[in-house]
Formats: sequence, structure tokens, C-alpha cells
Amino acid sequence: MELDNLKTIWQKHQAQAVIEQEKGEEEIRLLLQEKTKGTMKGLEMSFAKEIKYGRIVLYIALIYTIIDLWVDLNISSVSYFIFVLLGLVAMEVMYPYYKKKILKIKKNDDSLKQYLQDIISNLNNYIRLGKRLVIYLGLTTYPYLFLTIIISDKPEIFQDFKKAIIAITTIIVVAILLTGLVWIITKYLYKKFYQNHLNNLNSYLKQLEELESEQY
Amino acid sequence: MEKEFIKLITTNQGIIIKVVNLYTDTSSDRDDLFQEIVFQLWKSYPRFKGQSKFTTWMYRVALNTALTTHKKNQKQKGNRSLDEQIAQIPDEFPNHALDEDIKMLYQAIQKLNDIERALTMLYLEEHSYQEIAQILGISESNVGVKLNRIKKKLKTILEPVYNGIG
Repeated sequence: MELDNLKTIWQKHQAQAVIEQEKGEEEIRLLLQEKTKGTMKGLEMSFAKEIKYGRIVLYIALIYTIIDLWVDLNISSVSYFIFVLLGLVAMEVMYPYYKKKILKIKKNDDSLKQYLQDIISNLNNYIRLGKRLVIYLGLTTYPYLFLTIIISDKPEIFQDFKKAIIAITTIIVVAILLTGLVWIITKYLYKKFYQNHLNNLNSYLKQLEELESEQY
Repeated sequence: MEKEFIKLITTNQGIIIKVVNLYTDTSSDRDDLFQEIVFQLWKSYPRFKGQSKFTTWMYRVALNTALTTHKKNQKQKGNRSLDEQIAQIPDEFPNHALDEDIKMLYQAIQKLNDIERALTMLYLEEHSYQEIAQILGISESNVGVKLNRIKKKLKTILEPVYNGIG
């Protein structure tokens, strides 16, 4: 039995299979839509989770600072309140901005490779910004907040030079340690929320590059 | 662009169906691979510059996707033997009756490696050596050499079966 003798029977069978399995335009459009949505859905859910947990933490902190303000109005409680409020406003502005930027699907303008590269780069920038903010804000706000606590509760410390130096050194060390701890937690949370999506997007990109250069 | 793309895909979906049938053996695998190929085609479409025929490009992307997916599936299936996989073909294949010749041919093709399968399909579809070379990204002379080997291989597989039947 030669392969050439089987051409007709193969083609006849293939034509029949095509008729039986063919799909309409609408069905293909839905398949495409479903697949595209699926790719980004996980990432969108991670953003939703992050904003949910962020809101819970910041609103609890806000309630606490309001009570603190009401109980004891001083520089420390006012500072806490202002920082929490600023954090909340920043979160409410930053999240929607990045969410829109990262999840925006450019359907017609760019190639998919460019699109994937943009998402990966934006997501990496977002994670980098988050980690940096933890360090910059931690190293500025924690010392300030601790200082306000001392100024309100034990202002006499600053009348003794030696005690003042010890207090300031302690504040710096604790602020660094606390910033480090928050940085580790943030790093863990970002990994939990976004690492899988980043890996998937990178593997998509890699797959796309392989498809372009695949040699048989 | 999306409308234009879907229209082109719908018109030429026979290519996807043929590739899908070559590398899958269950209806759910077929649906998944069909969707994956359409998605990959959509992703690559903005880069399609019309330097080759649309159908040549479509075959290329469809085969690349099928090969990549097939490799992944084979890893996942792990210990499942080739015989088990072949045995599944007639049961789950589209519901028209497969006559004995096509069944034998499919079983023989399943014994070829992934690239040989693609070459065989394109040859049976009567594509020219030039088109096959363009689709697979190999030289025309290489197509000829590989096809001769495949023909011999298939003859070795098919002849004992036919002799046994006869």
C-alpha cells in the first residue's frame, strides 16, 4: 500500500471531518473572547484581592486613629490620622490607575508581543514601585511617628542629650527593622498575588518568541 | 481588524480542523487545541504582513501551536502507552464511520513523530514541496528527502497490516 494511493481517501475523509466540525463566525468570536478574557482574569482577581485587603487594613487603621484622636488629641494622634488618610487616598488613586494601565487590552494597535511586553513591564514597574514605597515611606514615616510619640508622651527625654541620642538611635533602628519586616511581608504578598501571572505572561511571551523562531 | 480576522479564520477553519485532528484524540482535546490555535493566530495576526499566502501562514501557526501543545500533553499523559492512545482513535473520532483504509492510515500516522505527521498531512493534502517547505521552514530538498523516508516508514508499517488482512 503506497502513500500516494491513500491521498484520495485521506482528502475525502478530511473534507467530511471539516464539514462535521466547522464552526460559525459567532462561535469562533466567542472562543477568542473567552480565551483572551481567561488570560487576564487571574491578574484582575489578584488586583481585586490586593485592593480588598488594602482597604480592610487602612479602614481599620482609620477607625483606630479617629478613636485615638477623640481620646487624646496630640501631635502623635494627628500625625497617625493624616498618614492613614493619605495612605487611603493614595491607594484609592494608585490602584485604579495601575489596574487600568496593566489590564488595558490594546486590541488593534500593537502586536501581541508588544502588548505582552507592555503588561509585563507595567506589572514589574508596579511591583517595584510598591516595594520601593514600603522602604521610602517606612524610613520616613516610622521615625516621624515614633518621634511624635516621644514628644507627646515623654518630652523630657530631649532635655538630656545622652537620653535624646539613645532615643533617636533606637527610633532609627526600630524604624529600619520595621521597614525590613514590612518589606518582607510586602514581597511575600506580591509574590503570592502576582508571581504566577508574571510567570504565565512571561511564558506566553517566550512561547510567542519561540513560535517566531522555531526551526524544525 | 477583529471582524476581518474572524471572517478569514471561519473561511479557512478547515486547516485548523485538519491540524487538530492530527494531534488530538479526544473531543475535549480537539476543542481546547482549536481554541488555542485560534488564539495564537489572533495574537500573531498583527504581524502577518502578507509575505506568504494567508493559508501558508495559518498552517504554520496552527502546526507550531499543535506541536507545542502536543509536547506539553505528552509530558502530562506520561506513562500512557502509544497503543492505548491509538486504540482510542476510532472510538472518539467524529461520528462518521471510518473505513478500514483510513483507520489503518491514521494508526500508521500516529506512529510517526510530530514533524513527520505534519509532513505527511501536507503531502496527502497535495501541497507542493515549495509550500511544504514554506510552512515547515525547511528547504525543498529536505522536504523531498524526509518524505521519501516517511513513505518507506509508512510502507513498512502498513504492508504487514494489509498483508495480514488480505
